[in-house]
Amino acid sequence: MSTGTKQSGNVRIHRVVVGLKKHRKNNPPVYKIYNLEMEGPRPSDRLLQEIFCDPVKHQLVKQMPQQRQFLEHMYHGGVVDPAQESIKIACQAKGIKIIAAKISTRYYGKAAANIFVNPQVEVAYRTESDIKKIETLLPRGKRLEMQFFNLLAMDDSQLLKLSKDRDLSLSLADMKMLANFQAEQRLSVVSDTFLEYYGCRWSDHCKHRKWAALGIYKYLYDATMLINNPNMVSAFKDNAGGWRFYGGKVVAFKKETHNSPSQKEPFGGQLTKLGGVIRDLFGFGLGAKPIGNTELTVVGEFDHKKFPFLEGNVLEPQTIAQETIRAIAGYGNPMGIPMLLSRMLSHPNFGGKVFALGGTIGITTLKRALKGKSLPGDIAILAGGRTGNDGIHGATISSGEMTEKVDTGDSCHVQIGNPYTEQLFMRAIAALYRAGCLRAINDFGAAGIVSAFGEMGEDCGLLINLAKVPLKCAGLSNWQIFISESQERMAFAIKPEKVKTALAIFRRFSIEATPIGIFTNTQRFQVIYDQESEDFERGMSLSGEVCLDELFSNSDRCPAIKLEVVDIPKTGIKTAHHPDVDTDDVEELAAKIVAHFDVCNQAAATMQYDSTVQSIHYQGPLYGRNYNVASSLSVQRPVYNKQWGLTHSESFSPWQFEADPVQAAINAMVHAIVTQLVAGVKLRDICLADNFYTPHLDPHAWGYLKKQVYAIADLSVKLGTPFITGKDSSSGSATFDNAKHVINVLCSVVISAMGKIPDVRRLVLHLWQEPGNVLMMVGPRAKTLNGSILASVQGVNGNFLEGLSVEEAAEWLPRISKLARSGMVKSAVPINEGGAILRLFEGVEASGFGIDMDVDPNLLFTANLGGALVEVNYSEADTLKRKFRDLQPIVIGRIKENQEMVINGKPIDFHLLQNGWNTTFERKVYNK
Amino acid sequence: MIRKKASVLYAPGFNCEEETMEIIRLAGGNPRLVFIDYILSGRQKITDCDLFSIPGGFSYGDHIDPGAIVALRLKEKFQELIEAGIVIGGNCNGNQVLVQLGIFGEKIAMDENDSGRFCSHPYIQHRVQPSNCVWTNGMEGEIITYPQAHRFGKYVGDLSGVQTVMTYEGFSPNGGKVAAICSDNGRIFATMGHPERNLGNSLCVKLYENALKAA
Repeated sequence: MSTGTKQSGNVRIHRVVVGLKKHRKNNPPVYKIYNLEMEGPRPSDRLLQEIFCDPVKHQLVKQMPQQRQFLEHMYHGGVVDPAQESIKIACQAKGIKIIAAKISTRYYGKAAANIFVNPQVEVAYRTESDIKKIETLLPRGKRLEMQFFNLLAMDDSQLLKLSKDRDLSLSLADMKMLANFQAEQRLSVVSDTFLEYYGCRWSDHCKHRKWAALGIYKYLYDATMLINNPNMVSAFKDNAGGWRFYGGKVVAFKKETHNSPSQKEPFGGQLTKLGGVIRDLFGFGLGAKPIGNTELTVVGEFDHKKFPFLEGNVLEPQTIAQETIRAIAGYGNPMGIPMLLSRMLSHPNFGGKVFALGGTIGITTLKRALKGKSLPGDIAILAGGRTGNDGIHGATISSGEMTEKVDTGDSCHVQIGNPYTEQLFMRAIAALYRAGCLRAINDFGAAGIVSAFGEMGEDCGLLINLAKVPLKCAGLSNWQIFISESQERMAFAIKPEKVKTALAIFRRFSIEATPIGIFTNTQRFQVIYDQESEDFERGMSLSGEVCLDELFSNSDRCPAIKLEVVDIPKTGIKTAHHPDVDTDDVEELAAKIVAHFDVCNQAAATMQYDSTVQSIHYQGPLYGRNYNVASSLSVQRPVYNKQWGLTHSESFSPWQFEADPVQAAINAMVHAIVTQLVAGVKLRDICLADNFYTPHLDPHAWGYLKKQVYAIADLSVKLGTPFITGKDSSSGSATFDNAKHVINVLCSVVISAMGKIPDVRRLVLHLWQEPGNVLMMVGPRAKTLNGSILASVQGVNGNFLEGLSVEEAAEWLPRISKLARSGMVKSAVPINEGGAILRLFEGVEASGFGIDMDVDPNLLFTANLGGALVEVNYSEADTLKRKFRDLQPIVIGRIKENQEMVINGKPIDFHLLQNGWNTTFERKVYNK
Repeated sequence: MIRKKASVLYAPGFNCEEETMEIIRLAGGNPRLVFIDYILSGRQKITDCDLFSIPGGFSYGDHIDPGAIVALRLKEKFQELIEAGIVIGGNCNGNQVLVQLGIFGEKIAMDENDSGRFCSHPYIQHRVQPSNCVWTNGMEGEIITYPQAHRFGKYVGDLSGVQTVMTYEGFSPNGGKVAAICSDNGRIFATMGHPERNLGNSLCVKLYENALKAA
């Protein structure tokens, strides 16, 4: 079919429609349409067939069904389709030159009704005439002239209005400081680039002003320095935290949230969440190779029971869940980075804003782990994807609350992720290092050039020419080029004598790379737009349009903000009482627990993530006979032919944070560490990451946050397990209906732990070994249901949590470590939110064995406080009881050959439990 | 002993080249990376090897059909490899490239998994079937365990003219029965799975030892 939309001159859009020769049963036809913008006539069908059709599966469609309702969607005008470059290359192989390309997909009838089209990045067409109106596939944009403002002539309200109108998220004090800079430099006006520069530099995302105001960043940092763990290579200073591994290697990890974008446009938001944190590892030291990803997303309540007004006002949690899975698979798999752990949780308080947390672990050498330092004369090279109007205001938007206002139209703050481009850096950075080209690297995170090159230049000086930046949009303003972020771009400081070599390496790996500036000795950040300027030389003067000429040190003069810390309310104690569980009740309660969304079988999502690429997996995100039980601990052997093990665990239970945010933070930390210890990792070999999510409109949030930080920092000091990386998101409140409704996320922190062990074969994992062995529970038991899955199932919760105090935890954890390494333990798993019953069910499901329990059933349902379920030989159970009395060991029962669960002589219908556990996720997420 | 030369293809989007080189090393070969652009420009010679391996990944983002763009670009050069009788292997995306190239005839294709989803599973079992495939020489009847990770991994079309080298034993990640195929002369082997991701498994390494021996 050649619908050939008419273009100016000889340029036309040709639509190449491809359909399946044989449609799947019950699936109505779906058409993939390659929209090609090119000069000249439509290429022959023979050529198009060769490029776009597999002769067995596909056919060129001359005529799609007419007179029927359809939906055709593609990226909207402001977005470059990530497939464009590949289509260009494919066409070029057949001698066809393409100017631009976009893929659209057309659905008919009922199939169209189920398609989610996100207006943030896509456009839906429903009539042929609308499609014919498409004039070009190239992003259009009018390059606006630089704007200038006289801040000194503005009153307070005008200054605030300017900040608001430009989405700068700068306060009045900030704006006044900028006016002060104008006065100091005797400038008649300042540019829009100047305003955007400080908007980025002083954003909470870049400057962490709220944490600075509370003094908690320093508290946590000081704790880490005080510990002085010899394994620590770097903490809080680089893109990720570095931890000494074996054989001169260093492992680094980082976790980051992408909450606002993932709520607004979950596919794009989650895609770039992962892309962003991977990029952080590329930019760690002089480059680390990413070797593992983690995924955690907390969506709202599926039926909006607690907040019914959300229905119709936010994307449905089901849509967010589906789009999340599609995105994580869509980005992580092409990147070639194995998934280590993945989980999805649901809690009503994340209905206004999801909690979208992604993590990446990387590996490098000790020599490369140190942050590079650019020197005057080094050339600033921008490499990777071209700059567009996506990814603008990521830094400032993340510093503001989620409201209907956060919609920037064509220039969306959600970036269009393209793993295909980012993946090219996997090998290229290593090659650049080997060739001796690198002086420093930085990622292109929030704030684009401002932070990527700015951070590298602040010790010496930097001159950037924005006219040299390759663009994917027709016309971007200077400030847009300046702040556009992307996970597919990286910033490099290249030694001047190695520029040619570096550019050749970039070409070899099909990466577009362009010198855009030079590092200087001026201590200033100078930004020009000059199309005439050719090369970059030391001592060159400013030319063309001068967009920015500021002392780097001025950005340190950011006004301090004041946060009111309101005491945590003292209310009466509320307890979710434990029901008196009788043996007869166990089956019903157990069935409810294992079918809870947070702990059910989520293999339907997890198996969509490649967990074996790189061939370094030892225990991935799932384990067991049916490969469907979620691992608490991931284990990798990142160096070929070595048994060196790298372990990872993560803990977050929303129900515990709902009950008691401070104790929940301690419990999360204890749980993340216990998961490592019971497997046999030593305390001193474990490091930690904190990822906070704080609701800024909750008056008590800062009080909770302070106490949370103090608690985990104090515990880290007592244990000698330092926090080496972390990130805070302090915008966890969403407002609706002109702030009539506010939904605050829980005052949350996810604690992650990374450990190492010299020989993975020494690890004790959770797979029951042998019938006849005894299962024992160790650790103090909670007396209430507060924070537990059972409380959630029953719709109750308390307002306090039982748990170990910092002091108790510091005494308890070394003991459990000693047990794990005693040689007695055959298998082990930590017990947390689902109680022992969940772990017992998982043990049966994973091993194919059964369990014969002889135990007080009440002990199976409460959350455990840093305890574990361990398997020992029958003959050693008494020895364990005697030697580790202080661990309060209790025999639960014995492993049996047949796959069944029996408690106190009464069989539990294991298939009933299996059915609930297996079906919840598919039902809630996929309607199956 | 001189180690035989193995070329591992690199095109943008491949992501399994390192483990592929490692298993070739373990099998006694001498691997090197060859770049698609260099091959097309003549800077690297496609036939300058004893074994040619196409790794897994998402070449060119799988933006048209998995493996299609590499096949489009390499079509002519690949003929030189075949004429030289060089032993060739393709895993996952490499398998898709070989199918797209028409190595196994024009009647077969790779289709989406029955589930419609990407499926990653570390412990897929593959039973080696009798064939003249040089890669599985002497391994007939063995069950080899290695990971699968794909979304478009089901062989469809007319498979009657294609030699089946392995079948899935138990769980199939894509709903099909056939797990690996080879060319008529037994020298070109394709599997949707990843034997190179099970480096500790002697049978997986043996596949490459066999290939190098035949090269």
